Amino acid sequence: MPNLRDIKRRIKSVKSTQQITKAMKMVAAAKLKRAHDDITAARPYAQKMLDIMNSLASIAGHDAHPLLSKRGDNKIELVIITSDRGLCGGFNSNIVRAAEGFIASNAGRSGITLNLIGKKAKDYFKRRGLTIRQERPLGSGRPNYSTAAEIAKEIVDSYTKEIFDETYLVYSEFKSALSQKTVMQRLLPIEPPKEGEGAAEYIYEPSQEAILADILPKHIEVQTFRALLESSASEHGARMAAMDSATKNAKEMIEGLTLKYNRLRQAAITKELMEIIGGAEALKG
Amino acid sequence: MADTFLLEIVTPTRLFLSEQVEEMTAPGSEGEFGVLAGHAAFLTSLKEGELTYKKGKDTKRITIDAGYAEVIHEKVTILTENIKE
Repeated sequence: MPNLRDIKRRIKSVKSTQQITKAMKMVAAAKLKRAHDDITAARPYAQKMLDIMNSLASIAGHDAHPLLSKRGDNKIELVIITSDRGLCGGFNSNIVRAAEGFIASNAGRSGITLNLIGKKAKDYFKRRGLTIRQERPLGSGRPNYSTAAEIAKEIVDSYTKEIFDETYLVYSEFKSALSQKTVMQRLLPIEPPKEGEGAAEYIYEPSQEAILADILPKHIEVQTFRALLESSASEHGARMAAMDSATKNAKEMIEGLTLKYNRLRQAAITKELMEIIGGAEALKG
Repeated sequence: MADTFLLEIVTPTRLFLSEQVEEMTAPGSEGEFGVLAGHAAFLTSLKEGELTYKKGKDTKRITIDAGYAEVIHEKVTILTENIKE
């Protein structure tokens, strides 16, 4: 049976944990708002880029550029985007599970390499006997375009050198603050749009081919950037939800402990009273 | 024919500008070009340099990074990675 002081100590400790989870929830909510704004802000650029690329690629056809044409899909590279930090519920494990599933179902391929973004992915995959070709932490602050460009450039370079024949992005897409969806998206080779889709008549300068060759790697950068932004917003959303439920649990726990504390206190008082009365009776007799 | 057209300048992180302007010049990869309302559809890559646009009596200048310009009948979209004012 715990004594009164033990329970009091427990309550105090749960309360301070609750304070931390509450603060983390607030911070995640603020960051989520900003991450969401970033996604919205990035949309016009990505959309326009996609429009231009589609209209170019649909005229040019499949084999106009190495990044568009398929070559026997043997070696695959998985680009896995997780977070650097934990305490965000099932966020990282969902992504890792999706990646594992993909690896298991493609075990027959001649090679799978990993490109890990975020510390959590590295922590998980470093002892799994898979080839980690690249890994980098996300770093602090909001995702910026130059990081995405760097990652994308490395991927495009390796793809061109035929180090792998296909690239997939695994990341968490932001649906709402409460729901994230793990998506598996093919990054390379680029899926060419259907013929005759949005092909506008332009005067091209310098030439169609030159612009296409220039814009395709840019497209990969934009896709990578979008994935980073989505992942960041999802992480904050997931953390907010996790911390919200942690705060609720702490509250329930405090209520339970307080009830127990009061009961024990009352029992102790009753016991003391009984003793006093008993003592008085004994004196009388 | 209207004598203004919509100029939109977008970067990966924001919509920098969306305004009706009368005139614009941009540093195309094959040389600087100017656009007035009613320009033929045109798609070009841009190199680093100065972009100017005219609205009423004001002429504004900004420095842009390499990127792309899409000109369609009443609208010009500039895609660039970075803008320095």
